Amino acid sequence: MGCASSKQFKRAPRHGDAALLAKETTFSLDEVKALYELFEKISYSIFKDGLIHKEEFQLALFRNSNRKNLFADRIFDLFDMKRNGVIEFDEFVRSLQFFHPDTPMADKIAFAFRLYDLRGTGSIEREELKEMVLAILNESDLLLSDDAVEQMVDQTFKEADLNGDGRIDPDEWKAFTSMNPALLKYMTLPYLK
Amino acid sequence: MGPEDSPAAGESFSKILQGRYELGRVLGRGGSSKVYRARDIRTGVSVAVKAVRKPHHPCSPEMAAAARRSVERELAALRRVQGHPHVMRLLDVLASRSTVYLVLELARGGTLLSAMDERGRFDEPAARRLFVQLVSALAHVHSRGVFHRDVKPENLLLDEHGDLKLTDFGLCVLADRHLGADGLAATSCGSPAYVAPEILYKKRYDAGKVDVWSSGVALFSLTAGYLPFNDGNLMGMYRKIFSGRFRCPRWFSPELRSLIGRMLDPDADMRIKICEIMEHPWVQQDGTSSFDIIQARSSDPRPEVMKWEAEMEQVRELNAFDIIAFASGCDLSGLFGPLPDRVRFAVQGVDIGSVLDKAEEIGRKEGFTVRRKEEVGCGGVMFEAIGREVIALVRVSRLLEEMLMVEVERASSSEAPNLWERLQLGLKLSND
Repeated sequence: MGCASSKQFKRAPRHGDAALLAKETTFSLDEVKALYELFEKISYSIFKDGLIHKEEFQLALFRNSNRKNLFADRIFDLFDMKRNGVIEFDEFVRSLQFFHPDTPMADKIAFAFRLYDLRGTGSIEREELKEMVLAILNESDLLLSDDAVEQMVDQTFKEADLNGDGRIDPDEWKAFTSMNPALLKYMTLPYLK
Repeated sequence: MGPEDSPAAGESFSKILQGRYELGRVLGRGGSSKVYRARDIRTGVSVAVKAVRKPHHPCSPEMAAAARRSVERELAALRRVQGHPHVMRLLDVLASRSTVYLVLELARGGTLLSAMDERGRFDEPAARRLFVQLVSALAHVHSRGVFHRDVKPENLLLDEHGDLKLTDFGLCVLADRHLGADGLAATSCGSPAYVAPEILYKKRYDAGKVDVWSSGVALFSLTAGYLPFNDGNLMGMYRKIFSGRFRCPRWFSPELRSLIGRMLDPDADMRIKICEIMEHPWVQQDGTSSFDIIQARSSDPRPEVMKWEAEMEQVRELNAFDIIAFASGCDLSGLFGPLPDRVRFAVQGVDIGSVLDKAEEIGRKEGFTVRRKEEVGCGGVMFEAIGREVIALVRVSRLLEEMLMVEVERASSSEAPNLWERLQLGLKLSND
């Protein structure tokens, strides 16, 4: 995890920080303060340094700090905007706002796109889609044959990759999600309202 | 199925759409759309396919965006208003590079317009039956925040029993997206003879009241055999619409005259509301109107049941991204509250109905009230305790051709601790 000494760890957000976050995100000042309590709970669960480490994130999400999960990793990496291996309070609030019920659909669509673009190439490739399907089958009781997985990935790709160039680009993703709004249900957490 | 369903009956099916639907003859055309008769290859069921072309060489990116928005709007509206006996059912959606295909149930009776051409005007009892179905459909779509804005006999279809189906939401407006802060719409639309005066004034208008006006024009035409406002030229027709003056034929009953007068009131504020129409003496005339029947079919008003029913209607065949969205790592709700209590598994070689049968059987054995909902390609069962507390939900959706995904969610763990295991085991083995 390395040394996080470059980060000033603060006991509580100074009032100015909280107000700024409330101004720049979908959250109200009270909601930012409530999120701080949650942040504090998570960031002191293992390392007690006021920063959320990956193990702490997994513990909060699954009640288990050793559970490796592709999507939890991806979400952690997206939340870790400065890419220094930990989530700071500022990053926590700014990232969680994508899951707020009042956040525009377009922002949620863009967040999910980044989540699925595993290699950060600016488009979702067939290989990435298959890798994600296999990861989820691994963690659940959904046992599908290789043929079934190929068939499903092919079919989905045919539907989503409108210009047939072998990649799902952001515009195609937007079109596909607006046809299938249920895909982004997990992007809205009623708790945040 | 009628004899016309066999290909031998002379219907030459030519094009096959994405391996699923065999397209037949063209049933109708619109600006950028064509409606085909078609057949679902897997089930043999006849359907209608509305093909909406994306613009070929759009003059501008704005035009292309506008065309895309209009398809998206029709689709969003159709999805939102599903679940009413007199609203056209959307069965499937397909897309290619140039075209979006809406697969709809087939209305074998054609449009109300062609029925009027064939048999002339309708007598009042026959018109009342259809009118009640129309008003009930409009009340339903309005309650879902959708306003049709293009009610006319061309957009009212008849099924094989002569029952009405409201269709063509291409011009509709969605309350939460397109209305101004005052809840009023501003775009002009609709067909000239059916258009309400407030639209001609280019004022902001109440989209619900516009549907009342158009339905009034449709009711008049249906029973009179001609339009209430008509003129050799458009401006002349608009003048008549502004004035709101029309003459009822002598065969109209006094009750019908009164109802049409209330619907074609040029003052939108004074015009009768959809919900008031149901109370009008002309509608109530033959004692128990067919309303009671339609009302009885509507759903339980409790929010959790409504949410569940609405969710069931959204499900279609799952794609790879649906599966990914099930990943526990995507579900951040664990950060805020208890972990969801849910399992998913695949079953093979059974149909949706028999999985639901099994779930129902298990639930009844445990003494719960069981609610069941079945749609094309998906279905669900909800268990409720005596106090109407939701205990568990079972959802079945099609994963692949021969495979279903079963999702069991425990809403309350306090009751029937063994139900959970019994349910999972029972459903996993439901193909035995």
